[in-house]
Amino acid sequence: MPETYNPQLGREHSYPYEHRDEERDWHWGMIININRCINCNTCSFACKSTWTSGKGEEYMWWMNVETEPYGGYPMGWDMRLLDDLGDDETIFEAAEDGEKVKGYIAQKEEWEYPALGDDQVHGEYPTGDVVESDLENDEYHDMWQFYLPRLCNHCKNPACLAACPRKAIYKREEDGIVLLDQERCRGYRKCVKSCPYHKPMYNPETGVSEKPVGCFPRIEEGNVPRCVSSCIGKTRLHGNINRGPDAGHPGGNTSAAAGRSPVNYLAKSDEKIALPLYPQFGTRPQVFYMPPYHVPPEFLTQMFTPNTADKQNEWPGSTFEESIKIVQDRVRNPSHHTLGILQLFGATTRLIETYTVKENRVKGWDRKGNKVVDMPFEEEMEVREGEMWTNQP
Amino acid sequence: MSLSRRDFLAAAGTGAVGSLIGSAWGATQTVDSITQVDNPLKSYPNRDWEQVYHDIYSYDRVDWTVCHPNCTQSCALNFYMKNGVPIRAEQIYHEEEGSPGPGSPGGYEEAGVSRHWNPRGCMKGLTLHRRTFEPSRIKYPMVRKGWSPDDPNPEGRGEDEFERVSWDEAIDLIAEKMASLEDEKRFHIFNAIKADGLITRHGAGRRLASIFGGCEWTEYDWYADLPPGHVITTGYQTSDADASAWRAADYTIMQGKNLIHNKLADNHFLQETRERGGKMVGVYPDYSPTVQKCDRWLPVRPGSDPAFALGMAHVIIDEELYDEEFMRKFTTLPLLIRQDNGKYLRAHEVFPDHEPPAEDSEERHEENDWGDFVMLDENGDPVPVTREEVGDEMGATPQLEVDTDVSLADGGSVAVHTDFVRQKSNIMENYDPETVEDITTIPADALRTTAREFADAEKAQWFTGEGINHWFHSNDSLQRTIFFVQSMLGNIGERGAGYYNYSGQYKIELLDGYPSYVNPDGNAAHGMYPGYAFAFFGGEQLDAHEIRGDFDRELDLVPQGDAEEPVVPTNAESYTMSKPTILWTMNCNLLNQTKHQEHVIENFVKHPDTSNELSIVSDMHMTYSARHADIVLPVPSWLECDYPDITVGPENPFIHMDHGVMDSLYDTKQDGEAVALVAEKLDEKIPPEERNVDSYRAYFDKFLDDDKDVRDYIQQTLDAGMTTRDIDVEDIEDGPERLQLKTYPRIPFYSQINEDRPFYTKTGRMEFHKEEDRFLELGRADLDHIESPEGTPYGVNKKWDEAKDEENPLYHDEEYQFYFNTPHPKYRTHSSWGMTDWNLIWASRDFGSTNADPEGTERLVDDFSFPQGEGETEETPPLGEAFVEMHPEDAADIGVENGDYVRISGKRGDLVVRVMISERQRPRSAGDMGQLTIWHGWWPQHFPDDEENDDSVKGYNVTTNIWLDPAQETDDLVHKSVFGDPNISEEVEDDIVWKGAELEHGYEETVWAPTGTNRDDLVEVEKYEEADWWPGDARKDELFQDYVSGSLQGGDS
Repeated sequence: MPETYNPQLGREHSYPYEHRDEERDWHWGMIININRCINCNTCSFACKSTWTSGKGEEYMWWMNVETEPYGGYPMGWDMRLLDDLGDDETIFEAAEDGEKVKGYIAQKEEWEYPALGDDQVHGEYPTGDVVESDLENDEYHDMWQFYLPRLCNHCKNPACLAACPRKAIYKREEDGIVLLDQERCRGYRKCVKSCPYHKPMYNPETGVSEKPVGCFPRIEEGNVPRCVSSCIGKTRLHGNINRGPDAGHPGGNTSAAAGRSPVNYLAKSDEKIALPLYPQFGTRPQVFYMPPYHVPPEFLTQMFTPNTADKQNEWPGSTFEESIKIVQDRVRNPSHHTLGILQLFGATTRLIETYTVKENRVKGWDRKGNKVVDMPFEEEMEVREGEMWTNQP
Repeated sequence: MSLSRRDFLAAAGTGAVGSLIGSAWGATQTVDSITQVDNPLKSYPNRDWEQVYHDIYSYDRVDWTVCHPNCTQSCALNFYMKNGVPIRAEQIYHEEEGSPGPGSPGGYEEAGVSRHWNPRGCMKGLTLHRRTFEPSRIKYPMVRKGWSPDDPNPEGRGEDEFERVSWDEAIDLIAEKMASLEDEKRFHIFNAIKADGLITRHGAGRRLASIFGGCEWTEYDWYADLPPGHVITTGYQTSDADASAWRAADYTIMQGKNLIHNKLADNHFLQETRERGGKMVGVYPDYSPTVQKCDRWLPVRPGSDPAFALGMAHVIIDEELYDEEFMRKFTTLPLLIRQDNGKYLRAHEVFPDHEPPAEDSEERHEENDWGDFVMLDENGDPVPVTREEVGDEMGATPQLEVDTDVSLADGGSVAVHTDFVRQKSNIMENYDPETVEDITTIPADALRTTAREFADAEKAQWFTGEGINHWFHSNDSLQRTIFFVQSMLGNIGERGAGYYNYSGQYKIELLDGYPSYVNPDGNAAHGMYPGYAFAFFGGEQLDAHEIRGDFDRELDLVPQGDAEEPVVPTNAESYTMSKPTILWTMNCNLLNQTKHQEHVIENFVKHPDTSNELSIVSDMHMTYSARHADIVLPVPSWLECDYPDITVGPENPFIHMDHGVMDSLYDTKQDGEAVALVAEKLDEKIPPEERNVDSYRAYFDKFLDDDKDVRDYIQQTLDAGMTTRDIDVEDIEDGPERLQLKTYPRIPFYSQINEDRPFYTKTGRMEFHKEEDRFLELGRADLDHIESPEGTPYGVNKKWDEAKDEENPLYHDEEYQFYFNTPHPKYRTHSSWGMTDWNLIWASRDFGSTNADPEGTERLVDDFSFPQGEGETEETPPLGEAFVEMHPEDAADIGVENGDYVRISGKRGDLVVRVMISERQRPRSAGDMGQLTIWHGWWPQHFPDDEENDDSVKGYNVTTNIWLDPAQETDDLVHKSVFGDPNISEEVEDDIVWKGAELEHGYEETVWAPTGTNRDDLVEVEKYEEADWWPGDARKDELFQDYVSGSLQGGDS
C-alpha cells in the first residue's frame, strides 16, 4: 500500500491510493469558531432542507451540532473508534485483513436521536463554589460542555473513498470535494462503516448510500456552503485551504490582494488558531476548529490533536497539550490581524479567496479578484441632530 | 403511552442495519460495472451523474418575506420556489450575487447598516415552509357542534367536535352576536404581539374593538414577563439597545437570561464581546447554556437574585468605587427625603415663595404638578431643583451624603436624608457579601471579585430576562437595584453600557404611528385588566387576596368589587372590568401559555356561569386554544398572505414588510380581511343611530373594495410616526429600512445622559426611593431583597433578617420539593413550531426521533392531521415528547432513571412527564431545594395521560400560579405616557404627536399595570412509571470516563 506524508501527524502512513504529484490549486476548506457557536442548529436545518428532505432520508443530518461530551450522532461515534485504535495508529494502519480501513457500523438505534444530550453539561454542581476559567492561571471550567458542529471534512485521505469496493467515491480535481456517485453505488455501505466521522449514510429507500456533497453546486457558483452562509452565530469561514502565502493575485487581478486565503491563514500560518477534529484517525480532515477556551485541555488534546506522547508535527508547543493551550489563548485573545479575519465570518455569501486587514478595516476578494467585502471592525455610531429625535419613542 | 413503540424499538435494535440490506444486495447482483476507475483520489471518469445534485438544488424563482414570531427579532428570508412550492429558505445578505432577494436594491444594505448584521434568521425561519405544510393546520372555518348563539354550552369546549362552515356563515354568527350585545364593552379582542401583524392582520382586530367600543387585552397582561422595575426607576417601559451595541462592552453580567437561546439571530454580537477583550459573568441557578460562554458562573438560589445585586452595590459603596458626578446629575440620590413620611421633600415646603403644586390630585398628571424637589448644595444650604434641572442644567453641586434637619417654611423642621444615605445605610447594614452568601449561596469572595471587576470596567452591561421577571420580587427589586449599581458606575447612556431586558412584546413602542391606525378618529378600545379575569371571572368564589398571596387583607387594592360592578381606578376610566361576552383571540395560544392552567380551563373557559358566550380563535394551527373555541377561523401562514404587513423589533433597528410567496393551501383569510367582513355585516345588522361610528365598514373598506389598496393603511401609519415618517411603503417593499431614532445603534436614554433630557419620572431622574403610597404601604419603597410569597423554603414575603429563621408553611417535605422552572425554548417560539417535525425532534432532545415512534413521519401526516372536519384526532405525540430535567442525585433519591415518568404536583395541579437526567440542574444538595426545568411551550399532546386522573388538564403550566403584585395595582406611578409625547413634544409637528393610547394616566396596558403574574412555585415529584422506551445514554457507556478525561486513546493517557 502506498505511503503518504500526513502533515497533521508529522509522519508518513499508508493510504490505499497514490496522491497527486502536486496539491490542488484550490481545495475546499472550512474554519469553525466553536466559541461563537450557540447550538441553534440553523446550519443543520439549512443543510437538511437543501439536501436530505427526501424519502429514506428522514434520519439523515449531514450537518449536525453535538453538545460535548454527551451528544453524539451516531451515539458514541468517537468513543468507539478511539477505543479501537492503538497509540499513534491511523485507521488505515489499523485495518484488519481484507479491509482497507478500520471502522465500525453504528447500530440503527445509535442513529435515532440527533439531539441526544443537546445543551447538557458534564460535571459536579459547584455547591458553595463557582465555575471559573482563567487561562493565565491554567484554570478551566470544571463543569463544562461545548457545541461541536459536525460535517463531512472532505478529507485529503478520505476513508470513505479508500473503503469503497466499487470506486464509486472520488475526490474532485478542481476543488477536492469528495463525492459518492449515486449511479455507481450499490449500497455495500463500506463507506458508512469506514468514515470515522460517520457522515456517509445509507438510504433504505433507494438502496444506495449518500454522503455530504460540500454544497458543490454552490461552490461552482462562487458561494459558500449552506451551513456557512446560514450560520447566524458567524462561526464559520469557508474557502481555499490550499492558497498559501506565495499565491498570486486571484484571477490575475492586481487590484485584489495576493497571498494566502483567510482560511489558510487561520489553519496554517505561524498564528495557527484552528485545529482538525481527530487528526489521529489519519484522514487529514479539512474542517478546522477554533477550540473552546473554557474547556479543560486534556479533553481537547484528545479531540483536536494527534494526542501522541511524542509530538512530531509542526504545531506550536512542545507537547500537544501545550499546543492546545497556546491555541486556546490565541482564541481568547486574538491578535488584531485575526480579529480582522473574524469580521469576515458571515459577512458575505461569496467565497473569499484573498483578504487584507489594515488598521480597523478588512477587505476580501473572490476567485476572480472582485472585491466582495469591505468593512470596518466597528460600525460608526450615528447621532441625529435635533431634539425631536428620541430613542424612547 | 404506546406499547407498540417499545416492541418496535426492540425489533429495531436487534435487526439493526441487517434489515436494510436486502434491496441493496438485490441491486448489486444485476448490475455490472462498466466504467473503469483507476485512482478516484486523482480523477474520476464519468461525472455526468453530478447533475442529480444540481437538480435537487435547482429552483424556478426566489421570493422573499419576513419571519416574525414572538421572538421579537424579525428576519428577512429568501424562499426558493419550485413549481410554486417553497422548497427551502435562506437568509438574506446584503445585495449580492447568490443572495437574490429582496428585490433591488436589497438586503440589509439599504437599511444603512454594515455587514456585521449578516446573516439573520434561525432554524425556525428555515422550517417556515414545513410549518406551513404541517398537518395541524386549520383548513377551513369551523363551529363547535355543542355551541349555539343562544346556548353556548361552554362545558363542551375542548371536547365537542367541530363542523365545517363557510366563511359567510362564520362571519354572520360573529356579527349577529356582536350586534346583540347590550353593552359594547362586552366585546373583547385578545391580541398577542401587536407589532407583528400591525395593520392588515390582528392590528385590525384592535381597530375594530376601538370603533365598536369594545375592549382589548394583550398577551403582556396575561402571560406577563415585563420588567416593571424599569418603569419604577426610569418611567420607561424597558430599556434595550440594538444588539450591535452589546459588542462594545468590556464586561457583561448575564443574570437569569438565556440569551444564547432566545435571541438567536443577533446573538453573535454578544459572543463577540469576548474576542474584543470583554469578560462575561453568568448568574444562574442552573448551568444555563449561556454559562458555557461565561468566564465565571455564580450559582444562585432561585428567587434570591435581588440579593446578588444588593451585594454588588454593597461592595461598590463600601470600597467607594462609584461615580459621584453621575449620581448627582442623573439620579435621585442627592434629593432629600423626609424621614417622617418617606416622601421627597418639596421646594414649597422649604421656600416660602416657591409655588406649590396643584391641590387637586385629579389634575396632578401634568408636568410639574408634583412640586419641585430639594437638595443641599456644597455649602450645606437647601436649594430647589425642578425635574428639568438634570445633567449640566443643574444649578448646584449637591451633596450625596446628608442626614440632618431642615427648617420648613411653616416654621417647623423635619429630619431628612438623601436617597443615597437611605439606600446606603440599608445596604451596608443588610447586604454585606457574607449575608448575601447566606441568601444566595454565591461565595462572598467571588461576589467581591465580580463587583470590583465590574466597577473597574470602562463599559459594563447587565442583562436580565424573562426567567427572572416571572419571580415575584425579582421583577421589581432586582431590576431597581441593577439600575442603582449601573448609575453608581455611570453605565447608562453609552454604547456597551446599560441594563437590558429584551423580554416582553413592546415592539410596538418603536412604531409611534401605530395608535393612529388602531385608535382612528379618537376611538380607542378600552383597556382590559386580564390578570383579574383569573380571579373575577372564575367560577369559584376566589378571594382576590387569596389569589394574590398572603398580603395584608386591609390593603386597599384598586379594582375591588365583582364583575358586574367593577370599581375602576381613579384616572383610569378607560379601563374596564367588564366580563367578556365575546372573546376573539388572534395570534395567540393564550390557553397554552396561561399560568394556573387548570383553574383557567375549568372556570374561565368551561364554567356555565362564568365563562363567556362566544369564544373565537383565529389561528394557523389547531392549538390548545383553538380546540377550546366555539368558532375557529383559519389564517394563512406568512408565506401565504395576500396583504403585506409591517413589523419591528426591540433589539434591531429595522422595519420590515412581509408579503406572501405562495398561494394559500387552505380556505384561509388574514385577520384584517375577516375583521373587515365582520364590520361590513355590522353595518347591515346595526341601525345607524345605534352605531358607535357612522359606518364600521368604512374603517376597513380598503380590504373590501377592489379599487382600494390596503397598503394605504400602512402608509398612513408610517406617515403618522416620528420613527417612520420618511419611509414609504415602496421602500420597505424592496427590503428592510432603519427606524428613525436618535442614535444608531439605539442606546437607551442617550438623550437623558448626553443632552440633559429628564427621565420620565416625577423627579426627572432615575428614582431609587419611591414615594408613592402603595410602595410605602407595602414596605417596598427602597431597594431590598424580599423572599418569595411562595417559592421559598424560608419565611414568605419577608426581608431576609426575618425570613431566615422561619419556614414557609408550604415547605413541608424537603425531601421531594423543588423549584419549578419553565424557561423559553430554543427550537420553538413559545408554542409556535411546537408541531413542526424537525423542530419537534430537536426540541425533544434525547426523546426526539423520526424512528423512535413506530410510524414516524407517517403518523405525523396521517393521524395527526386534526381536524378532519369532524374533530377527530389522535393525540399521541409524533416524533417526540415533553420532558422534565432533573439532577441525577435527586432522580436517584426517588428511584427514577433517564426516561422514566414522574408526576409533578403543586398546590394548583399536577402533570405527568418523563424525566431527563441532567447535571445542569440545581440539586437539592446545593443547600435548599432542587430545581426542575421544563422548557416552555410544549403542546398538551406532548404529555402523557395521568391514568389516575383522566380529566386533568395537561401542560407545563398547570402548577404555576397567577398571583398579582399589589405594588403594581396602582394608578399613581408616574411614567412616560403621563407626559404625553416624550419630552420633545414642542419640537414635533402637532399632527404627528403621539398623545399616548388615551391611557395616559395611571394604568397603562403593557407598561404599568400588573405586568407580571408571577410563577414562583413549589412542586413535589414522585415516580409515576418506568420508561416504556428510552434512548441510549452516553454516560452509561463503559468508555465514557476515559473519554471525558481525555485518556481514551493516545500518548498522554
